[in-house]
Amino acid sequence: MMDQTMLRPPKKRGVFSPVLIEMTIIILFFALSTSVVIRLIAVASTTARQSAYESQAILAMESVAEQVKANPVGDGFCNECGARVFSVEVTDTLSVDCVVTSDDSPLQGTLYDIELTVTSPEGNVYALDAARYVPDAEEAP
Amino acid sequence: MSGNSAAGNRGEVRGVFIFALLATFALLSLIVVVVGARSYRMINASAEQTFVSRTGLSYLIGKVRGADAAGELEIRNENGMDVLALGQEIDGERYLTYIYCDGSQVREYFAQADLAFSPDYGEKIFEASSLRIVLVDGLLGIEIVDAGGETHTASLYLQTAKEGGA
Repeated sequence: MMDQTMLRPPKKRGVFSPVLIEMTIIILFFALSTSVVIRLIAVASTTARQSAYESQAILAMESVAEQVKANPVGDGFCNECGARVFSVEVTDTLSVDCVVTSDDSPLQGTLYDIELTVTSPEGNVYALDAARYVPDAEEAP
Repeated sequence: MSGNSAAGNRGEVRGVFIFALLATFALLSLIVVVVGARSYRMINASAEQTFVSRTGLSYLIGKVRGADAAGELEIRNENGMDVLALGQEIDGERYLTYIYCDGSQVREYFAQADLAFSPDYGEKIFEASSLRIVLVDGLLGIEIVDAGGETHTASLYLQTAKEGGA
């Protein structure tokens, strides 16, 4: 007694069930979005750190510029080029390099040119220029 | 019978696999949230510090520069607090802007010069635990300790120091 159903070949079940495929797609999508989010977080973190460093560097350079303006002659020690070169260490990673050159050519005074630079640990260079004119009458004791 | 048992085993393995995938999904989600939250906290703290060091100090420097005129700047000590008094004249009337720190906030108080200084009326500028102001040879030094205990300093050369600016 063989009926129609017995003659039919056994129905093969798919190797991957729909739930499994759905889960795999979800995981793949998650992995993709996670990689984007992680990259964004890393970039945001780096930008915040750089911004904080930059802000600290600018403030440090402004302070050193003001200190030099208050006393442009300093210890009076100049190198062979006639420039006063020194470095001010603000923190372990922040040091302000300063070059002060004096120009006697203006009449009745001296123009001090102050060049300040900070090199970040990443190699970025921040620079600030300042100047102060000191009349001869002010320099004379 | 053995065919049914094999099918059952396969079903169990599939169930375990789906559960493992879901668990991985949950774990990764948690890690991403934790990393994101930590990064957000770090960025926030950094922004807060930058606000005090950059915005706060710049504000004070700007105020001092604005008052850098002969006889308009004075450092007082009121109730153990360093108080920076910046003078200005409006319609023939003399006014003073007092900048000071009450222990938790840097405040600014604007009043007529003949009125007594009262720290209670000051407007809040930013949070800080201390503010020190010193003036040596025309160089004004400002030192702020923020709420987190970090110290921020700035120097300012007063153009009118030699003319009795302070």
